[in-house]
Amino acid sequence: MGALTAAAILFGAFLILLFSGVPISVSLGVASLVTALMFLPWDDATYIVGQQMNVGIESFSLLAVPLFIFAGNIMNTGGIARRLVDLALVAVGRVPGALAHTNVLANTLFGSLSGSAVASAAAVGSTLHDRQKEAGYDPAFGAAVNVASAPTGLLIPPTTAAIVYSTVAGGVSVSALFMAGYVPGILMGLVIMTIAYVFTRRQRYPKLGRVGMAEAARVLLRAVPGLLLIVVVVGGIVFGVFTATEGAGIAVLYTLVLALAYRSMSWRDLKEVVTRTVTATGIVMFLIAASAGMSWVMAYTGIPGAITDTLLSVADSKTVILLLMLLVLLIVGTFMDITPAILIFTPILLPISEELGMDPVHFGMVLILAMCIGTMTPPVGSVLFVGTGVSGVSIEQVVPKLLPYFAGLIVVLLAVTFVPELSLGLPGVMGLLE
Amino acid sequence: MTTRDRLNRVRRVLGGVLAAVAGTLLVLMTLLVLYQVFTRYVLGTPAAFTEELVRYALIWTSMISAAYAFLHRKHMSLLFLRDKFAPPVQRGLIVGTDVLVLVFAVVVLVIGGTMLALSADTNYSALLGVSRGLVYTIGPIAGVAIVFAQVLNIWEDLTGEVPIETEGTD
Amino acid sequence: APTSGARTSVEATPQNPLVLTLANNLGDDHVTSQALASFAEDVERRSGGRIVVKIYGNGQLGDEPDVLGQLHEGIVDMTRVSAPGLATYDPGYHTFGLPYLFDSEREFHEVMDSPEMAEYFRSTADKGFLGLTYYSSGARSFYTRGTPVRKPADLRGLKLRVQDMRSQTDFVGALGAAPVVMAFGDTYTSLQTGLIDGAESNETVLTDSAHGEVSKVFSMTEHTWIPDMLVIGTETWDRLSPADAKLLSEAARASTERQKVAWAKRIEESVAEAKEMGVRFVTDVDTEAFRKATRPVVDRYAAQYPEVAQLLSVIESGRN
Ligand code: NA
Ligand code: NA
Repeated sequence: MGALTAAAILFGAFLILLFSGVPISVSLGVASLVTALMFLPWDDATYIVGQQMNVGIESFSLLAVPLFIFAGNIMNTGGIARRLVDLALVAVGRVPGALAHTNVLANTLFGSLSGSAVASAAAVGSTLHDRQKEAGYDPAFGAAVNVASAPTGLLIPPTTAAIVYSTVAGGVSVSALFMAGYVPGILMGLVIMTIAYVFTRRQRYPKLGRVGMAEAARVLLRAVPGLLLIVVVVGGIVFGVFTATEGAGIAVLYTLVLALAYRSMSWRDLKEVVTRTVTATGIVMFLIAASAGMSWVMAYTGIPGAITDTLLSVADSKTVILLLMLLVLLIVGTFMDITPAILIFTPILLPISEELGMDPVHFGMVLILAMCIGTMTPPVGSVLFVGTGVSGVSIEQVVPKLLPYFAGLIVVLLAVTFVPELSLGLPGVMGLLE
Repeated sequence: MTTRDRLNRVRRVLGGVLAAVAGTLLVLMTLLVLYQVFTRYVLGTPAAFTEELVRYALIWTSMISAAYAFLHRKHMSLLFLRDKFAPPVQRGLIVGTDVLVLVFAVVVLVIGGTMLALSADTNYSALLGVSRGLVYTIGPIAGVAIVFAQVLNIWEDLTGEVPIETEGTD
Repeated sequence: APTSGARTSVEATPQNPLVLTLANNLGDDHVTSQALASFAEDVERRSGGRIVVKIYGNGQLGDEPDVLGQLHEGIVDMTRVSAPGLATYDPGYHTFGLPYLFDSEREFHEVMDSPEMAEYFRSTADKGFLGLTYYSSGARSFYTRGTPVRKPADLRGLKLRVQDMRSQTDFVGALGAAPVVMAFGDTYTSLQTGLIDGAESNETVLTDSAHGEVSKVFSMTEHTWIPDMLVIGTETWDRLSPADAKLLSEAARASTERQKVAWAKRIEESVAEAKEMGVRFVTDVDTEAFRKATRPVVDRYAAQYPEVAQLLSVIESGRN
């Protein structure tokens, strides 16, 4: 049986299960098992999927994922997010459309800390929603800006997306990925601000009142401990003071101490935070476990090699192949969340990108950015759902307002894909690339 | 006490135990990671055992947390297509899904996991000298917990009882 | 074993060959990977296409302990592993991770090529695998960011990355250093940033993994000679006719001879390249002091595992 037959069985079974509503992790596991059964006796197939699901999550580096989720949840509950929003308000308050820009800036700051686009969309969106309403903002417009900018935090470190990618890509340096994310992430934020500026100028939304120096200083001071966390955690990881996992552990300790100092978290809140973290851990880690089973079956049956050969024989220009890959990623992103998409598509597309001479760090940025766009599209968009949910508008109202941002972000995606320096410049200068 | 009350109580107890164990492990792993940094920078001699212990604890935490997420139907899935079907078809898909999860837990986690644990029985870890067979027993343990969770979920599907507790996640 | 294709080498034909999977977690351009590729070609040629060895390189099927589990279950047929990794199934293989068993490369090859050693490799069929042949991985030495290591005291308090094997943490600990177990992929950045002070490996690590950029002193302590093993599952071995079993063994041995030559050449190239990178090689090492300091570890293993004691005597007798 050939690799392409195996691919047809694996992806066919997966898609049928996926669209029937079977959890993504179980769809992956069952599809892998069924494919393995085509090649191996049942006891071997069962053993191998069981083995890979266990050893796939036996990794010190992967612990960074639950720990960053933990830290993000503490930050959310502990009042650290709100202080960052206050700071953003002061920083861009005098620009026309201030509350929209505040939203983008706060998402960049907060998402950078929490490492989760969804947490960012929820925390920042709900904090700003009422103020935007008071100022006469169209709630659908406000939600669109929030949804479009929340995923910047998936590129700007610390980010669990980079850690997950690093693991499936065979240990690509987390430090390099972290530094690579800054330029694309900031570029994304600037493009959104520019588009929002054009729209808000037309709407003549009010500027915010001038903030006195004393008040500005007070707000900054209150936000400093939160900001310092980025410096400590990202700096510590990038400069090798500690590993990404240790950095995540320090982030948990730091946010916890801060939350206690602010007296904004009760014992009951903490228990709630732990339970929420446990749930998210179960979801993400079980997905990673199942995708390890799939990776083994794909390697054993030779699927990635066969797909690479097929694609390279169909198109011979690097540009065409890259555009095809982007198209695939954008389609995948419309119906799949970022973590499963990274887990499933890295083993398939990374070899192709390497064949094209792309650095794995660069490819990681392209992959994550494409998936960022995916998180804001229907029918499945975690950030879209949460972002619209907190502003009390319907998805149908928000999507038309999102269209200009999609256009802008696709331009950013093309730039990041075809200009490697945007991703590789910073880590290159710091000597983090191999 | 009705059947529903009894099953709900089972769900609450099982959920409580899973969350407590996974939560404790999560906090323990955080402390181990911090201890590792502490021993390296403050004591000057890095603790070697933490890395290994954390790796094993992560498997346990993940598997138990996964069971907890199954109990509360929190695993990520794509429902927009299913929701377009007529109610009887939807119901069929829901029951089918929950049965499939149960079968998967039995075949891969309980049976495959037991085979793995047995074959790794004499495989001792480099630093702590614990048998990896022991580490991998979490597969069958979590598998059995998922079977319990799915039995409750399937009963719920069939009787149409509303889930008693739903929690917000992100 | 796959459900398709020939079950045994007797029923295999060029049209329906016996396909044997071989897992290897080294990169494809590694000297030993090339030896394995030549082994596969050789088997196919010698068998007239009845036996095909299909290689999965680059660790596609998993890390060494996981692949050994797969070998044990009969999912993969052969694998290349670092010898001490086999201790899980036969404690005797701990021996190959112990320090100062061999005085020189010549002695290492003499012992490894001896008939007694060949007999030992074949003695583990009841444990699920047999050794087909070994490949040299050179002598391992300590390399550091800047500290020359001439005597055990020079290692005191240094944080050194070691392989994830008990024998390695044991003897490095016995030398007064702090052994750090970490993934090989993290070693470069950890050396760069000073998270660790050094590591231990053969000379090729300086160039092939670019560690010479971040650690400038390579001290020729030559503490271990850890060979790689090419092993075959007993279940697969039993599916070979005696003639085909012989064919496979001979092809394996022949690949070892080719690998020896290629390895020596590679080491020479690496040393020259590393010197160009500015790595200093420290050769005036007090080997005797290291041997003395680590002897208790060897004795402890011999006392704990009769298989180790047995293999140590095989090594002793092969040394003449
Ligand atoms: Na982030
Ligand atoms: Na989407």
